[in-house]
Parts: sequence; structure tokens; C-alpha cells
Amino acid sequence: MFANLTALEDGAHAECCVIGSGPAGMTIARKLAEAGKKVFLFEAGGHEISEESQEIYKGKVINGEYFPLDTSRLRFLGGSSNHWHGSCINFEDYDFKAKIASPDGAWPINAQDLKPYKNEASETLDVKPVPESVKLEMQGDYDWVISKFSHGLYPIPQQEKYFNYLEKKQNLFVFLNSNLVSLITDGEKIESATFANYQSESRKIHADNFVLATGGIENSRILLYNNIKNKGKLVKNSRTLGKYYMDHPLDVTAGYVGFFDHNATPKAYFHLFSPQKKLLDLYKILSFTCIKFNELKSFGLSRQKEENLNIQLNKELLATSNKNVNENLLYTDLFVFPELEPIMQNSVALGQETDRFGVPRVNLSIRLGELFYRTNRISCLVFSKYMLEKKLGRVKLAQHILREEPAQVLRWGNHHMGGTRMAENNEWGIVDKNCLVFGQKNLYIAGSSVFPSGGANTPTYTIVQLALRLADHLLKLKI
Amino acid sequence: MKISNRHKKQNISTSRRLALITFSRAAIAMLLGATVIATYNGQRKTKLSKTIADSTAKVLGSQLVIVNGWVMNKKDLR
Repeated sequence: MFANLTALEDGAHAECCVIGSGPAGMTIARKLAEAGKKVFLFEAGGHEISEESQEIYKGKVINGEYFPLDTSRLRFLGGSSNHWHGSCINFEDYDFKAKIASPDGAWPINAQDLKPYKNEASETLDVKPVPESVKLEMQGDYDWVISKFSHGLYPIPQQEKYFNYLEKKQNLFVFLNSNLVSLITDGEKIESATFANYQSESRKIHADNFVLATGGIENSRILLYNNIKNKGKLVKNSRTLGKYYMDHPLDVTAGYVGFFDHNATPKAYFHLFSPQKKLLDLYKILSFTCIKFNELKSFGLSRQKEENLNIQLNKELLATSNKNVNENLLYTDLFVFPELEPIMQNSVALGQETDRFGVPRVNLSIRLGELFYRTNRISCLVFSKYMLEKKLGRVKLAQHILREEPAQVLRWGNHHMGGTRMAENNEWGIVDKNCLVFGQKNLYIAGSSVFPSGGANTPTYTIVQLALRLADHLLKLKI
Repeated sequence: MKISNRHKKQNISTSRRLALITFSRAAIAMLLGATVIATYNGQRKTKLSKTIADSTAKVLGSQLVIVNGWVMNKKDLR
């Protein structure tokens, strides 16, 4: 049920306190409430988007070029699921393992650990079950999978899907406009959390367990700030706190793919061609995905301009080729989605400015490295080779790809990952494989901030699988 | 407006539509402006270096070449 923060008694107690109502927080709160637990769910925003809440997300990008931090995520009920596009893709098995090119990216869990939660995650997100990837025939020194996916274009956001549930569930108390301003630990256990509304009224609460699920950037900011307030007793080894921040750069100007037969691959909105681990090891690159749309999809071009582009590219091809080539291809943009290497220098840090609650705003660093450019080039080359050898089509690559230079336009996936990464020990991460903060007995982190590496896949499906797994873990504790 | 109209048809709530418009505006601003220009160290050479050329040839093998960006079979070249 929805409740007012001010109606809460100071010192109130819940079996679990979940902070943040995005896909991760909402999933955990619902699952615990379903099991009969008394749950407090705190959301910093209201039912609708508002300036006063969204403003808290302002921060600086001090290294690299990136989205404005207050528009790439949403701070109201349902969190960033309110502008989620709806792509769900499985992480491949190798995405959980260390890669030769980047040994720091290994997860302490594997794909099998998340498999039991696939169907429940699909139901939670209101998408069809995500099928397994299909391995394509191996040939030469490379091989591919078509990553299958489930795609709901702008699916129902979490708050709309679960509004009635939240309203009626008697043991799930949802507090809107309630901002976390303080977490207090005795060194081993969170003793209390304090929340404040926009009228500066605050309440301190207690819980058996706390789950921080405030998003990929905010989880780091909250821990960094509260670790200072707790004189380092919250995250005792903070070497990696806020570090290894990642997103998915998307090169939408990598070139053009011309298809001999546009329907050569199974019908779908788009197909994702991903390599298998062997290829990554061979070229010492990271994971990537080449995207093939099943219909002409030159973004930003009118149909007439698309037709003109087709004519121009076919003319170019004929001018380059001998008489053996007499093809009339249909072209689409080549999108490449390379994995960004998890490195310590890409980070969420605290800035000098503070928000209205006195919490320092974010200073974010995110830069592309040499490995990114190499991955971008080699992924395009092997994809081009594959298209030719399989007689699927031809590729024209942009010059920046071949020179390993920055693209003129690079989009970001808005997939905020890392910062509180999952690891075997506190030297390499902030949480263990059950998402428990090292050194604390009752503080868990949910969301993509725990990802040690991000693969070349959309993260929401994995976020929800991890959230379901964490909820199961909490239930086994018999809180 | 295209996005907005589509959402109206899908009966998406005002709040969510606003959120999507905010997000879309950011995306459009990004595309129109200096967007997200990758600013890697700035010291990279602007022409194909030998290392890059060598590893490109290694990936493509002996039968494929690149001409004006086109990945081509040697036997198909004019």
C-alpha cells in the first residue's frame, strides 16, 4: 500500500527495506511481500516525473563525452523502466568469464546461476521468454551465434504493471518522495536508514536487511557518501568503490551492409550477430554485437533518401568491381555494439557540489580506450568476411573503423553498469556473489552496478534475474 | 512528435510520455550537437598505421582486400 513518510513512526521496523523502485528494487520488494514479509519500499520520486526529483540526478561528466546525467535515468516510481526500450537478451556463457583481452571482467557466478530465473524474469518484464542463442555453422577461424532476444517495443513500465498490486498489498509499504539521506552502520550491520521528503521532514527506520537498488550510478554515489559519514566502516576496502564504471557505446556509423536476400535470416525486428569466445581469444578483443535489421532502417533518412543511398552504394560497388559483380543490393546501416573494457579509471566519484539533501553530486569519468577501437575494427572485419563468405551480402566500412579513430556520432546504451562490482573478495569488488556488501551482514546491492563486466548485451533482463536470485537468497535467510 | 503520437496511440500515461520525450530530446540533442564524440587521447595517427594494416590483413586473409571501404574478393576487383 502507498503510505506517507510522515505517517511513519520514527524508528519503525521492517523485515526488509528496499531503496529504489526500478526493475531491481520493485522485483525484490514484490517477491518478499508475496512470501509474507513486511517490506518497506522507498522511492525518491513520486508517481510522475518531476523537476524537484530529477534535479537530484544532475552531475558532471569530467572525462569523456556522455549523456546528461539527469536525463539518461529517471527518478520516480518504476525508475528508468519508464523509458526502457524493451530489449531482452541473454548474456552468453563467456560473458561471465575472464577474457584474454580483459582478465578483470570475470564474474564470481555463471550463466547457470541465473538460468532458473529466466521465465520469471520474462513475466516480470512482460516480454516473451528469451530463447537461447543459436550457434551458426563454424567456418574458418571464426564462428558466430545469432543472439535471440525478446523484444517488447516500449513495454509496460513497472509502475503501470504493478500499480494495483502496490496499492493493495497490505504488507508492502511504498513510500514515495522519500530520499535516502543516511545509512548508519555499527561496522558490521546497518543499524538504521534515514529518509527525507522534499519538505525536509525525515524519518529513521530499522530493518533486518537493506537492499540498495537505486541504479547503476546512484548505488555508487550513496555508498561513497555514506562510507565517508561512517568513517570507512561501511565499505571497509573501498579500493574499487565507484570504479569500473561501464556503459555500451553504440557505433551507428560503422558502415553499410548490403544484403543479397533481405530475408536470408529468420524474420525478426533485428538480429544480433555475436561472436563466440574462440574468436575473442584469437584476436584478443572483447565481446561485440553486429546488428542486422530486417527492414531498411537508415535512421534519420526519409524513404526517398534511403532509395537514393541504395542507388549510390550500388553504383559505387559496380565502379569498384569487375563484370563478375552484377548485384543490386539492399542496404542498411551497420550498427556495432562493442563491449567497453572494465577499467578503474572509468568511475563514479563525489564532486564538490551537493544536492538539496547535502549529498555530493556525481563526477563521472567514462572514456573509450585502445581496446575499444581494436574491438570495433576487428568486429567489423570479421562480420564483413562472414557476410561475403556465407554469400549473405557485402559491407562497406567507414574510414574511422579502419583507422581506429573516434566515430563522428557515438550513441550510448544508457546502461549504467559497474561501480559496486561483484567479486570473490573485497580487493576486487564491493559485493559477494549473493550481492552482500563485503564486511556488512545485512546490506545488499541490486542492479547493474554489481556487473563486473557488461558484455555486449542489453542489461535489464540480467538485472531482473539477479534481483529474483537475491530475493530467493533473502527468503532462505528466513528474515 | 513522432514518438509522442505513437505513445498516444498506445495509450501510454502522460507521465511516461513526458519521460520518453525528455529522453528523446536528449537523444536528439546528442545527435545534432557534438553528440558523444569519442575523445580518445587525441594523439592517434590519422592514417592507417602499419600495425593496424597488418592485423587487418591477418583477419581478412589472402583472398579479401578493402577498396574504398568495401570489403571485396580480390577476384571481383575491377
